Amino acid sequence: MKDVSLDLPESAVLGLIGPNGSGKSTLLNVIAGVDKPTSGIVKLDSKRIDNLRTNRVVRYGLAKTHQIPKPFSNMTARENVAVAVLYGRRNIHSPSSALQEAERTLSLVGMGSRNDAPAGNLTVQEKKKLELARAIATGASVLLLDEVFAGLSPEELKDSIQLFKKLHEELHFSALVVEHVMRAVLSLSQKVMVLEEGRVIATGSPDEIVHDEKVIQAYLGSKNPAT
Amino acid sequence: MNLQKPGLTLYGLFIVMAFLAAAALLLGVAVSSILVVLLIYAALAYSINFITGMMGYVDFGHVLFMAIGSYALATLVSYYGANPLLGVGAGAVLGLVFAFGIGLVILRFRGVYFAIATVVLVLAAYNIVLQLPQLGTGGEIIFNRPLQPLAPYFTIWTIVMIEIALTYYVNRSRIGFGIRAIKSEEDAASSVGVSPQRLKLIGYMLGGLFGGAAGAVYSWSTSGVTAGPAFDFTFSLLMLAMIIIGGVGSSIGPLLGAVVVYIPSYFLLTSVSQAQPLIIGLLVIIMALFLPDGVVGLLRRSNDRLRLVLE
Repeated sequence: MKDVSLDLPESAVLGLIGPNGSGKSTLLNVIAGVDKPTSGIVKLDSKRIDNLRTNRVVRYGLAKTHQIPKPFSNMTARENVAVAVLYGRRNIHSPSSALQEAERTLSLVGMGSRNDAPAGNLTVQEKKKLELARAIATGASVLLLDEVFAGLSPEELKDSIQLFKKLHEELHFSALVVEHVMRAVLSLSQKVMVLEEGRVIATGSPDEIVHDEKVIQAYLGSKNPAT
Repeated sequence: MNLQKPGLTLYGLFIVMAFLAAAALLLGVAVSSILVVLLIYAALAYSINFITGMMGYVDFGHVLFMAIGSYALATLVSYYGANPLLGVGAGAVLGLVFAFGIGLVILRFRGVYFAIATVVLVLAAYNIVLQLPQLGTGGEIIFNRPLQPLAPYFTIWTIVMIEIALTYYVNRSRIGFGIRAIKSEEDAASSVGVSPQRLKLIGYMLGGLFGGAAGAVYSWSTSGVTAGPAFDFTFSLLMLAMIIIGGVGSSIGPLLGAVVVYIPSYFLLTSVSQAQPLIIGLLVIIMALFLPDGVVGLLRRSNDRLRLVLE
């Protein structure tokens, strides 16, 4: 990655798109403390977080979902979320109140009926919702969402987009949304940033982005191969 | 797990333990010298349960902590004439301290690499002990003390009681939620704020502490220690076998496993002692193939009430 700089204002949603291998996930991993940057800094509310481990970053209020869902399959959905409540930054240390809190979060993401389901038995969409529920349950003010809308049927996609909008209205988190599904990014984000081969090639409102020459070129190839 | 309905497993375990205490008091020395081995097995099973059972880190080297405890007690009693109880305390503390130091390093390995590291560790420790000039040939310390079987018996009984209570508590506490998350998906655990390094070290140190204590009582009840048996790889395997047979991670599994492993070892000791590893090995293979949750899992599946009650 080179010369990538971004600013995520409070309760803003920034979309991050780009072809495969353009560095979207790498960027998320660097911000979340999964990978360390070789140079450059990451700040959250003016505190530097690029030298912290992932679990410390969570305590500062930043949580990331996984591109491929990683449920704790030895637990129920509710217990999965309870772990996030207990170890996030909400200072809830009693398992029984964490489990109650987890139920609230699960019904918030529309999984209220799946509280006691073993997490390993959930469908793909449910596992993605569980990822989201866990991230929210940490009490994070900044969410990094890595392809939470990928691999869903059109029906599920519509449902998930609506859910995201509702959650954002209620919880006012800021979010950095990495996504392949254009429809999702464009309808959710106030601003979109396009990466190609580790560099930013365009930034702007969704409307500007879809008309940007460089973006069209990166996605569809050059109009005139000769040039 | 049902946090609202506490206790039944715990009460059941305490009834079994009360029975074991009564058996020793009423039936005397002969019975207690047999049952002490069962309790030592149980103590070891609970101690490795903190590591392999709860965190899923397969520890082939747990006999190391047992050996540390054995040597701590034997040294104090034989060379300094100390009270054996002091030796048990020293074994526990040394187990804890060693687990802290070792854990800082080897808990950075995962999966099969961790398992290999634990094997290497025991081999290294064994050879170090053999080279120590203070010990006799074969790393031997033997002490002559009039043996009062009830004293080690109730010491190990107390240790097992503490282990049961602690296992039960940890499983229901915040730490238990974190440790189960680590067992399932370590990276996902840290992405919701769990610190795997810290929790794994806590689990490993609990394993070291109780492994050391159990090892100390073992050398107390056998009036000495020798490097060969003390570092015997078979012990590590037996401990793993006990929690696999009983049911990994649970509060009741290690005790069940200890009973299952102990009974054939007792009856076969005199006639066909070579058959013991064979029988236990077969049992582990059968369990791994058909009952991955051990006896506890089987009981839970057999009955809805048991499923809710057994922890």
